[in-house]
Amino acid sequence: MSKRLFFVSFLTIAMLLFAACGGKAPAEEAVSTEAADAADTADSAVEDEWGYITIPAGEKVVLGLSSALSAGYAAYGQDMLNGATVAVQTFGDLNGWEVVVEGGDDQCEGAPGVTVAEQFSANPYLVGVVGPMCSGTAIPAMDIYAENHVLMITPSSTAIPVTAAGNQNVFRIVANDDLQAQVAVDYLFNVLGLTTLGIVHDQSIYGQGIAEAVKAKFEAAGGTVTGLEGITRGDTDFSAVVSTILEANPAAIYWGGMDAEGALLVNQLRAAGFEGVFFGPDGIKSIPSFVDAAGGAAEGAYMTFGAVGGATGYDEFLTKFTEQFGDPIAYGPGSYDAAMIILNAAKAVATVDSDGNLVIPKKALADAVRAAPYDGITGHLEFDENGDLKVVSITVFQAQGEELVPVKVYDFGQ
Amino acid sequence: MQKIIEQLINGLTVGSFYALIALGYTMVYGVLSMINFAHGDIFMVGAYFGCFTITQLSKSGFAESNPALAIIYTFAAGALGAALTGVTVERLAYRPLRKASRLSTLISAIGTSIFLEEFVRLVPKFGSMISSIHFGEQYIFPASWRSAIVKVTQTFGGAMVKAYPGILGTEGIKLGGVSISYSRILIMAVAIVFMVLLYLLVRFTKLGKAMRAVSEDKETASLMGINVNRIISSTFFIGSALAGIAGVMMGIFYLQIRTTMGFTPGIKAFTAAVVGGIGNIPGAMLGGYLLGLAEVISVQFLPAVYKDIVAFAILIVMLIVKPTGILGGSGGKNKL
Repeated sequence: MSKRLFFVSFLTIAMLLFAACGGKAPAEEAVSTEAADAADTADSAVEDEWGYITIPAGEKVVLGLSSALSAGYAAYGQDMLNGATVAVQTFGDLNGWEVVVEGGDDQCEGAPGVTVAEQFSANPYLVGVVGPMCSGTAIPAMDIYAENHVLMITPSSTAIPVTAAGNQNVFRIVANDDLQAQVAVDYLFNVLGLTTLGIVHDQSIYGQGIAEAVKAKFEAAGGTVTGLEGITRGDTDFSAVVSTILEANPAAIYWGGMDAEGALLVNQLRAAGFEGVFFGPDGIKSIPSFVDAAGGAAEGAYMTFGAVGGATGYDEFLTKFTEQFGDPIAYGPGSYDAAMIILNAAKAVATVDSDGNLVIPKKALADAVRAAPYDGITGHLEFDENGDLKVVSITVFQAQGEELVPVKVYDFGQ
Repeated sequence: MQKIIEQLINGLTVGSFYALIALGYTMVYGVLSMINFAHGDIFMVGAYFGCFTITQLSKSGFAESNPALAIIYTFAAGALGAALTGVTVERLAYRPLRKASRLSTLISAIGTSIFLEEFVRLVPKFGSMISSIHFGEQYIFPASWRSAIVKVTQTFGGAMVKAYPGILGTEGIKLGGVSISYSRILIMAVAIVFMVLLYLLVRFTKLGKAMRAVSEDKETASLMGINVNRIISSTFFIGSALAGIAGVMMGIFYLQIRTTMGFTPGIKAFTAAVVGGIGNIPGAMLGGYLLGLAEVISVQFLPAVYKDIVAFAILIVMLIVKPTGILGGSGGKNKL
């Protein structure tokens, strides 16, 4: 008995000691690394408070990409990876250092996204991250990136909280969901003249967020929301929800969610006899994984999308992209721009130190992104204090046969 | 009233899936007293075999000229693919552990489930690896074979969602304002036909009799001259074939399949099997339809997001009130 007691108390004391050490250690460590960084970069003019990325000669500069590369939303994620790959091919080397893209599979979910963020942050040769692809991933992952001062530019996370936190390392090059909801409501209510709307969402930060924004704005505009129902991501049978939501006979259904469930939902709505308008956000702007996957039921469906290519340089991008990967789906061009912004900013602030290492100051890198407007293939990209775009446009698309046809463009902030 | 009928039909469709998958759980439990947690993934494998077949058939134009025959071939491919997978899984992952503790078989089943999911996801990668095996400048396979291997593996599996070509469309018949699509009718009909066939097989054939004997007592059955291993393999064959049929039905009905599609229906079908009385064949069918109906009825009164909660609450209540299930025997001894 006394032996056991001794053992337990020993363990307790040991744990307390460790806890105490654990509390102190990081601060000391941080001071010492900062000192080391400063010593390393004695020849660069200003000290960077976020520290430095130091890449020895012969190593490769890594550009991270966090998106869903497997399961339901992989079509979108792969499209983003392809876009970033084309960007690296076009950009070439960074002051003589080869650049490679590293894809991290965040599965469009929180927990795997945080793991990807930790892996990327631990990579000493990482210059920045394109993504995460989904808002539900970006919101938990951006804390990790902020802690480690990793530059992050998302071309596709549209939920409002992504930039609302005001992290200085976080940027977004697409219109947020508040504007997407506003456009959807304007198009449904004013352009199509529909006054009743049923709403279904996928209970994600993104889907439910935009669904509730649409509900509030549609009611404020004077319309009636006949029902708001949630389904589960990854589920396949929505017939019960379909019957419930169609009971009130709404003129249109708004879907807050992604392509995989969206395709199933529109198919099951049409099978149940729904003949009204189907409207969704950027999450369903995909020919292979929404229009084709719905098997004809998506004909006539509308969707809003912010990152439309077509600006200067788009044609060259498109040639390079299609000969390797086929047609871009949705955020391929956006990822290309995000990758280009990171690499151009890195080129602007990078120096080579006396030991022949490539040195990139982290804070200066983020400041360079914020300071310099960039004319990308998706348009003129200029950031405000929170890392959101000052000027954005949203296009309403309609599925017509095998094509998504732009039917109306909304401009904001001009 | 019209809406209630609509919801009942929804429930019966979902119930058909659950019932067909639940049969596999119950049959395996009946003969081996183990829960085959890889069953949901065997269902997924069946869907992929069916998808491969129907994609080829519709590419060659056969599906358009002979839609009925194309559907039959698709079901056959799905059933056969799943059945062979099931038998292989039993042979490699369960038979060596038959004398081991129950926990070992359970862990083996979970491992198999992850393996199957990842395998189907990585099939195209294996394809390109195999096609690029070479010694020096010389590839093992000729160029035409190599491109065929890559093409076949890419059509078969992969990380992306696979789309089933829509053969039945969204059309259907209208009965007094209630529209029922042809795919729904096909699914319910196929499910009922195969359940009746299974019942007849287990009740009235020699194989069925042997299965019942093995389920009753393996040692005595083997003393009576029954080849127990062969009967267990047959059980896996039949149970997995039914899951494969359910997988193809899922593809035809929802038009898309993915490697993770087996998880939720697998767990729900397991619930159905337990509710009906695990080890009991009519019980699995009853449990499947009950669960399908309970889910749609719950959507009627509660927000739709509570659907899964209701399904699993039924499982918990059943385990507390009558652990042997509705049609289960007494004392936890369930027989086929």
